[in-house]
Amino acid sequence: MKHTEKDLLTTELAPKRREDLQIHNKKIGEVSNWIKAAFAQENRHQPVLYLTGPTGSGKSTAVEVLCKHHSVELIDYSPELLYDELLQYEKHDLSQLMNFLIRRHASLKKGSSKVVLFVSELPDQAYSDPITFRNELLSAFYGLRYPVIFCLTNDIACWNLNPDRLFTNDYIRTNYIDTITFNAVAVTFLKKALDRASHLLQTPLSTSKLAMIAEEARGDLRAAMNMLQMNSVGKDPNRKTGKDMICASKANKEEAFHMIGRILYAKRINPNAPVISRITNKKRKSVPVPEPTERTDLEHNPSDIITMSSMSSDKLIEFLFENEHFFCSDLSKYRKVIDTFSVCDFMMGDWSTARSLPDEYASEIAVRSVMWHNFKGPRPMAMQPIARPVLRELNKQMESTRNEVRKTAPYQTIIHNITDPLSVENFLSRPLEVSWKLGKDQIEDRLEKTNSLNFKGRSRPTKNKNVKIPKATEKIDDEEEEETYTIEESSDDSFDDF
Amino acid sequence: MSEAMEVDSGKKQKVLTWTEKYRPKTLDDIAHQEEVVTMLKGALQGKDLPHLLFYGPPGTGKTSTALAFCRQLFPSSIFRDRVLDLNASDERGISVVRQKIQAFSKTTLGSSNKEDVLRLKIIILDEVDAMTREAQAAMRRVIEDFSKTTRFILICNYVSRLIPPVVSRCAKFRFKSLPAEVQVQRLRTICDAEGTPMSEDELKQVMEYSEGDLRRAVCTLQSLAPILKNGDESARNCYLRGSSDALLISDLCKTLPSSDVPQIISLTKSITKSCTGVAFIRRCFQQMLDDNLINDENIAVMGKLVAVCEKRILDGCDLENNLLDFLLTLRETIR
Amino acid sequence: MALWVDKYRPKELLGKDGVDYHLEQAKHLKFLSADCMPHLLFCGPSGAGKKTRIKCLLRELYGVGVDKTQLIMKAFTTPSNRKLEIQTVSSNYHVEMTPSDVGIYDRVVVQDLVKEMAQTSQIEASSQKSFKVVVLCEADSLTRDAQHGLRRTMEKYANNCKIVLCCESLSRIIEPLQSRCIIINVPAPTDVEVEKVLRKVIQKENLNMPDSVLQRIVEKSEGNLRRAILMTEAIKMENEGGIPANAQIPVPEWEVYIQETARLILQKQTNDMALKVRERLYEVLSRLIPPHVIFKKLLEYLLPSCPSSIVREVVSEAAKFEHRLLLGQKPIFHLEAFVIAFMEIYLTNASKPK
Repeated sequence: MKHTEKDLLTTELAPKRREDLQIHNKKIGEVSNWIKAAFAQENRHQPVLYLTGPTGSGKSTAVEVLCKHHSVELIDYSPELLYDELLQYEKHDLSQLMNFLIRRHASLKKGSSKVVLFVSELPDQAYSDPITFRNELLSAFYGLRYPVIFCLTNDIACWNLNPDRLFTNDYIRTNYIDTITFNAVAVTFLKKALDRASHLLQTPLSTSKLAMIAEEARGDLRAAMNMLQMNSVGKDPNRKTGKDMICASKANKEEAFHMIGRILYAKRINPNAPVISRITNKKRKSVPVPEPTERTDLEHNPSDIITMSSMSSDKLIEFLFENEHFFCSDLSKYRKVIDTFSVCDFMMGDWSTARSLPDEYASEIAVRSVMWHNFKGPRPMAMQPIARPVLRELNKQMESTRNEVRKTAPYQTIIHNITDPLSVENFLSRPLEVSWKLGKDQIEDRLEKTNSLNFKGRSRPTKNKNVKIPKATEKIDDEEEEETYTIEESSDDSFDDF
Repeated sequence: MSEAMEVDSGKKQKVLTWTEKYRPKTLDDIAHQEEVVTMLKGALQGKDLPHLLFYGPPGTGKTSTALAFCRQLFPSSIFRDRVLDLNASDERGISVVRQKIQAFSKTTLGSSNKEDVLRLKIIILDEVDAMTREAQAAMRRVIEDFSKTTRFILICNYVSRLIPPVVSRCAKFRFKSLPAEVQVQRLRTICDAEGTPMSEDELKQVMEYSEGDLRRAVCTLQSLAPILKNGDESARNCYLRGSSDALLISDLCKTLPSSDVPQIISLTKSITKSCTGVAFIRRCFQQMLDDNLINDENIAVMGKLVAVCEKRILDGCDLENNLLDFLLTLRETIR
Repeated sequence: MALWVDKYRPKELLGKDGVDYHLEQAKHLKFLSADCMPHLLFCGPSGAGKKTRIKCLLRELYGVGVDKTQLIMKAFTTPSNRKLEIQTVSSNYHVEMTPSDVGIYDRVVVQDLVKEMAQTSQIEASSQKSFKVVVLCEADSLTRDAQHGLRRTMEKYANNCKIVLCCESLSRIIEPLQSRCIIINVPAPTDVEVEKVLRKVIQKENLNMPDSVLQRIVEKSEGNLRRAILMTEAIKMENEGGIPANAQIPVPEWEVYIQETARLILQKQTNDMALKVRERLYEVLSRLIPPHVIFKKLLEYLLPSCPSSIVREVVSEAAKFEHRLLLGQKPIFHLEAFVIAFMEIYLTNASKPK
């Protein structure tokens, strides 16, 4: 059946049969077995399943498909949002959930005796007061009439909203709750799913594009489907677009470095207009005379520029720090800009101010400072690639070194007290010509060549090639998102208009 | 507080700290805080008791007053049921506030007997200024909700660290720092009781060293007791003599205006090795003020610098750098 | 293969193998251990001998059993269900640890540890002391929270568990904590004392060291005995055959590097130079040298070459940036800011008409 462009691909092309499910067979087996066992005999209490996994890994789809397969009816928990007059927002509270769990549900299909309750979201109250939630849930368990499946996403960065916090290991164990954990969808499965879906489209996409989508999606099947849909609109979906694909859920890389370019170049309207000096005529002795505002207006409003990309403040400042010196030659101006960066870091250093006012201020201040001081600064002649901040790499390197050193515990006190790496680790005692940027393996190679005196009888630690094979079944790290800024190699042409 | 000391397994007797041993046990023993004592005595007679907030410099008797009051109020049999003592070293996050305090407040009072003058429970919260804002906010609800059966006695050093809603729910009592004679008196009583005789001068020095904090003075005495008993004259001098800072400072005052930069740098290095830290800067400034070496305009500037330096050092910066900064600026302003 | 620092560490307070300086204080410590021992707070600059004295005191209290130590990783759980592990050195009678290793959770760790120590009583109560000792190193990096929590804990468990704190400066220890301990101030040894100790070590090692070299070591160590002994050992390693009179004291490589960097800064003050300096700073940072140490060394090498008129301004800027460095997350920002500020100050001064 060809897909007509009316509905979301995720609903239209959702798998309807067990064979269509693009999840590991083992997991399908687990869920299937649980469903069978739930109705197998008269259990003393109705079984409860806690099903978790990253978002878009196919949990609800699998449950739906399998229940249909076993002719079990699935009743979804759809809470009513009550409007709280006092607090003026809509909330749904625990009592509704408990009610849903306990009461008798009319079966929609006549004759079907097997019913499973399906809960896919928990009320806010549960997260704010987990102890009450657990207690009430426990009492609800005693009054259950049907098996229950809690299908929740647990790869949320914010721990407070993570259902794992509510369903602790102890709780699960003492109440005999079953658990099944889904992993992120493997790339092969993603590809298969995308293939299948793409062929149902009017113009199927090329395999290379599908491969790219599969990579970008990173184990999230839903996102892959959405990307597929977005990319298949328009006249020629298979047009050559290089790497600037419209990736639905990731921050747009182009935008990011458009933004930085705008900040650094700081274009003004008519920069060569005659100088308007707005110094006041009165000069009072003790009050310093304000710097004449010789600058004309900026072409772009700084606040607008900042919102061009969703980059966080500290990353923005890192980028600016890395590239500023090309744009500012005067030492005193540079001093002021760097001073601003220093102040911003200081402001944001305290963890309690993260994501609050000082954070916003920091980016605003830094951007304005750069734009002010880059007035009539040197413009690099050739196209200046915006360099990626080196800091992240440095920190990673430092962390790995630190871990190595920690293994030799007694020496740690020596390091702290005299900070003399000479007597300690061979990695630290490498001569300073061997730059840290080379990376660990290369450094060890170099060290093999130079005969270092500072070795005192410790056998060389074996080089273990810790090459990380990116398996899609591993937990995806959010941090890695940023590393794919391929700014330096980008073939994009956004600098043309400068 | 009765659970303060862990009892040893049988053989040795309980060795109490002198602060505990000589803590005033009744309201009459409390020196010098008349208003509070009068009010509390009234409450003992059955008049009503509001929520209380005791604040003031450390070592002035706040915790002692609270405890003495409770001890006089409730006979020891029901003491445990009626009084809850929470301290900064116990868990006092929001969850504890909600659970423990709520649980305690909710339990009903036992049957009343004739001695039971006040049908209330008391919760003593010590060192409230160390509680987070959120915990304090949670606390205020609890204070309100249970005010029928429970009264709170909050103890802190700085009222500014408490959130206003909490402060407004309590009657505030400021504990004044004890005058010198009273302190010396107490110290002498303790010394005689413990058999470590000390001269008047020495007691005065201990008192000055503790800067008006009686608990600190008693602690110092107890800590030094073994040395004083066994040691000789030199030991006494070593520990009881005023800190060497005073000498350094007076030297400094004389030499500073005329020294040049390298001299000051080496001077800073030597001071860093032997001085007591941030207090040095404060005392130096104080001395300069006393000797009238800084003119009026610059006092503000120097005062600000002292505050900044102190903040930096307390945050963890290098003492030497800040000291150098301070001294160099001082030198310029003196000129 | 033990370093000389450990080999020649004094093992008792007084006597043949006793400490070599601050003898009066050692006597007092002996008194304290005999009688009812209070909580102690050792403070003094690095390398002055605080840890050594603590160890000797422990030996005084408990005998040689204290030396049988084990490295144990203790696990703790915070109220928010987070699991922490911290390394402790412990014997049957004492536990030693550095709470700042766990960062902001140090309060939980310290309190749990003290409670644990207080609750497990001694096996043979008759012949031994009734209390155990908890040694907390780097006490000045304890968070405020931890210190407040500690003060009540110290009172409560004073009978069973004595706490010994070890810190470099009293400034960061809150007053209530200071008042509950006896403060043992261990100042840095004088040059004469350092020399005496070095001579003893040299003699025991049968080393031939010319006086000039010895003098240089004494000067360079600036009252830090640990550094002095390490330097001596390093010199011996470098000059296996014999130590010539003009032997150079090996300075750690990074120090030389920073010195070179300082020279570059003084040489030219432009943006390009700033870039080069930044690269060099990255290099040093990657060696895990703590940023505030870099800062201090840099200042040390820059100051002597500054004309007197700008010293005050430079120092004031240095203090400002160091403070920000400690509170911020990215040390390179502040280091570079200081370098540029210095360059500008230097440059404006140099170009001023005399």
